[in-house]
Amino acid sequence: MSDVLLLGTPVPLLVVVLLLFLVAVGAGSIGSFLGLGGGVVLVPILVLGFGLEIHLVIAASLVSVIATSTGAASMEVEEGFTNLRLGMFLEMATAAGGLGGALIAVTLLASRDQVLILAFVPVVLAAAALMYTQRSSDTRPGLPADRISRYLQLSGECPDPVHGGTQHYEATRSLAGLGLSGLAGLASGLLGIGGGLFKVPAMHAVMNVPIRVAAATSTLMIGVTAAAAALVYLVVGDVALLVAGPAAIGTVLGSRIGANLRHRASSRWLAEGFVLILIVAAASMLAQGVGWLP
Amino acid sequence: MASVSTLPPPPAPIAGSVRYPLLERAVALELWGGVLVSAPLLVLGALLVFLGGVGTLSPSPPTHLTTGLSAGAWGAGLLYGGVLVLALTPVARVGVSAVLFAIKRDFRFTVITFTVFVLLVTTAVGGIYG
Repeated sequence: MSDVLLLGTPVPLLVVVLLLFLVAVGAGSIGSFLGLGGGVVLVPILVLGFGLEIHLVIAASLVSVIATSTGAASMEVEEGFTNLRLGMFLEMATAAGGLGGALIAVTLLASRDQVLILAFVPVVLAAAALMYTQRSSDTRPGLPADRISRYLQLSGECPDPVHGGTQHYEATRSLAGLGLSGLAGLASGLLGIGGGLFKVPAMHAVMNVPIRVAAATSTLMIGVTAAAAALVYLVVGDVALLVAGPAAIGTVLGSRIGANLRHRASSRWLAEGFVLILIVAAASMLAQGVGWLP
Repeated sequence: MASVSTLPPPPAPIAGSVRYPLLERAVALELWGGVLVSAPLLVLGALLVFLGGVGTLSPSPPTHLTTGLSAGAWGAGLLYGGVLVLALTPVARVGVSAVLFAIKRDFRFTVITFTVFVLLVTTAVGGIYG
């Protein structure tokens, strides 16, 4: 079996696939820890470190997003952290945004990828600023559930792993959360990402949901967001199976490690970790937008 | 003529949090089932691809499923099947949720979930044939 050039050095394919698997375990851990798919970690490593083509990496990343989501959510749904009603409500906007983004990508802006990526940089930075302002308190007290939230019963309860017992929370500003989720869907359709970068701030910083619930619910949602795009890539034959397969197995394992770690971490730690990832993502998008990265 | 102030108030919103253990159990099982079916296919597929000596980092079209009976072809087919099962798992989760919301007579969420399902299928079908 032929060798593969890795950073200019010929390396046996088996070694490359094993390295891919290990990178995916790390990406899945970080991703599910913060409620993301891990694509923000996986994509730059596979493009810059492994020298793989960007369209192959995006397809593998979408499969990994689904794997992270499925692996972590299968464990968390019954633990009470995932809010299925809130997730489904926001998925309406995400799915509609995903459809809109895909339409825009193939029609209006097909040849203007870099402009498109740059347009998301200020949004990611705004999300980072929002998350930063709320890093010291998990939820702001005195914000009641809004009318839509009450009508659809979006508020809930979750275990409080740090102080023990159960924590009740009220979901508020539902329309703003729905709008940001639509933007997450749009970003997914246009850029081929899971959209957790926007979903967690939408639920936590805007809708005042505890960060653990926001991360767990986002983890469940990103699988659905990525699934439609991944199916398209798969059916038209754009998935490199020896990239996507090991990446999927690695992220499933990593997702369960990340979700377990999230239960033990303080909410401030989670918020600050998320802000850091948002800044890294904004820098990466900026570098791609101005052509420094492929 | 009735003034605005005498119009009946809007229906009272339902307060509190609602969880359906049956729905949570079904979603967890469906997702776990997706992992349990796809993971062995992916592992076995990768092993057979290596045994068959046909490993490549190039994209693999679905025709791999019908290209022969060699270990490599079987491996590529199993890998493809594993990724396909994984990609279908979240879509099936939305379908399962729609059915269970309907069983629970939670019609608001039956409509919401069904809308999500239709949007997903439209995106996937539009992307494939578009």
